[in-house]
Amino acid sequence: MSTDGANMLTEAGEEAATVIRLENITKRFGAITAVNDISLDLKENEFFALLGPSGCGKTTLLRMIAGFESLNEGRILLDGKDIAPLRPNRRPINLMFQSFALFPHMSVRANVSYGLEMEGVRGSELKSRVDRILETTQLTDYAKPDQLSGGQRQRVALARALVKEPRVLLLDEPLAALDKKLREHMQLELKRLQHEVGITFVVVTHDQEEALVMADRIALMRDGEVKQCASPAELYEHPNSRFVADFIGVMNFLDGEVSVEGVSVPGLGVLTGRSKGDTRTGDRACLAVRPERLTVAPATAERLTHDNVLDGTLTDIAYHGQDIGLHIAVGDSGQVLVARLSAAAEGAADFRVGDKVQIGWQAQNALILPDDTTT
Amino acid sequence: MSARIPRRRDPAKLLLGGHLWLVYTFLYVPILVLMALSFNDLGLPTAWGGFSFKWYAALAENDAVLRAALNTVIVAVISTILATLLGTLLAFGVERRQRRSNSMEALLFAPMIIPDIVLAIALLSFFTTLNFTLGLHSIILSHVVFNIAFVCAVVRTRLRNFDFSIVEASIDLGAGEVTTFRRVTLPAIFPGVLAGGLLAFTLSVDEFIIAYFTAGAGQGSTTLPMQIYSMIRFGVTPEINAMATIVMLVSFTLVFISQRIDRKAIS
Repeated sequence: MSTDGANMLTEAGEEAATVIRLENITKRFGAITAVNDISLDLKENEFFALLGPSGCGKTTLLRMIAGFESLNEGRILLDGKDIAPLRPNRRPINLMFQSFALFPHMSVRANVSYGLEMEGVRGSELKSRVDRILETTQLTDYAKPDQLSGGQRQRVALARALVKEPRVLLLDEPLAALDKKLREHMQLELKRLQHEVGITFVVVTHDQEEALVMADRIALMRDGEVKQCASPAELYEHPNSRFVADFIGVMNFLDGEVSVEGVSVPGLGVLTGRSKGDTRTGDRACLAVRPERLTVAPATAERLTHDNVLDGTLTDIAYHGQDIGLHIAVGDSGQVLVARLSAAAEGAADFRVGDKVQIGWQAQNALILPDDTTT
Repeated sequence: MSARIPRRRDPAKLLLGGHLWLVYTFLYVPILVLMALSFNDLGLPTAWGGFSFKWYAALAENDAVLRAALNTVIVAVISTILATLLGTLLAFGVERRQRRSNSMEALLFAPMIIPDIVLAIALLSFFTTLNFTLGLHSIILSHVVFNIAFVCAVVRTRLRNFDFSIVEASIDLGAGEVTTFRRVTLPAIFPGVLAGGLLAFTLSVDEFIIAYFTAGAGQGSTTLPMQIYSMIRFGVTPEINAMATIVMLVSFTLVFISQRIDRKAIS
């Protein structure tokens, strides 16, 4: 069986075992296909993120793993066994709800104990396991949920799910209900917790920054399909499509047609970049380059020696504190490219709106991506 | 600060305040007079003969009244239990579904809005069409009909703030449907259910028209309001004042409790 093979790999220390395997999952609501033929492997002890814009099917997928939605097609295997016949209360998988769904009439301790009581855990074992998880999640206070702050409520929700020591913990937009400052703190907190308990976390989020910070691997979804599944760095540096490049971080796009040397952009000439070989001459495509990969110099300075150099006019300067965003209109169309440079960089403070500037980048730092905006 | 500045009386506010007190006087003076007269030793509405419990004592020896009171309690208790059960389930069904139809909404309120006399005639013709025997059981069924609407309305206000994901959370944590209802759903909505039940009980206790129409011919199914009505035909006796006072105190207490529970639950 395939799982045996996967386990052998773990023993060899090469690759973690698969906990949950999604095989060709499809879910339809009436005429709408919410999830379309998705296959994914979730590994042992990994922090996995399902990322995508709202309505991309990520929450539906999560609820199918938890057992609250049925499948139209495909299988969900947990440790190699099909869990389709198991109701949600029989699956060794727990879900943390977006609203936290704490029981309002129970104390924190009663909330956390609830899941273990359902398993028949009683007496001193119940007490010690609840104590241990309250300590892990840094909860000491046994008040009623409505007396707790947003961050505390989230800890209770986490403790309540983790105390059952599930094979997989599913988290539906875990940080959406928190304010910005707390959200940033809890991103790292969740990561720490995941390392500490050693349980596979699957988090659903629409916030790409959140996914980049927390996850070991990210599946970026759109319209019920996984567009790319990779590590955060891989997604950022090597997006496989315009959609992925656009969704993750900030990206400049120059639309044109694939030529032999690169992309022929109307009004700007042929620009060069890396190609993954999935575009052919004559295709519609775009050249994508990250703001931090652009070098900007005044027009009066020495000509830049980069593979690609464009002339433009500075239209806007956005000050972000540690770095500066320069908005530069290029070519006859006046398309605006965004460049980011460190505020500490030499000459960074000398730019003024209206300045004539030159922008340059190396071919290896730009990507040629097929145009998938219409698909 | 407000102590030093002399409070200026706004004439509009003064008028409004006066109006408020007039309304309250108009509403409650007759009731207070009735309560006072029930303790009048003389038994005349025109003269005060001293404080006495003798009309209450007379009431306690009136078998017809006691039987009517017992009937009322039987009807109220059974119809409240049934209406609370069905009304709560109905409220759940309605809130759980996405609101697709406004007419369904409106139909829920119908038994509250339709004049009692119309509902009474409708129920009576319904029972006779089915050749249903009339008696306490038909009164109970009729009270269940309109009480469902009231219970449903009260429970729904509670359910509006109810996070249905706690039901899924309970199942996710390993509980079955029954355990989830017993340990999570019911405790979370219990104040609403209790308030609805108390309201239903109060409405049932002093309901007259529907009970009168659906009680049938026999004397055995006379309820307290019907008994009072039949006694009043021979003039208002102080005994009736005494009974009215008791009924009113019971109703008032229950309404007060139900409102207190509901308010506490919402805050």
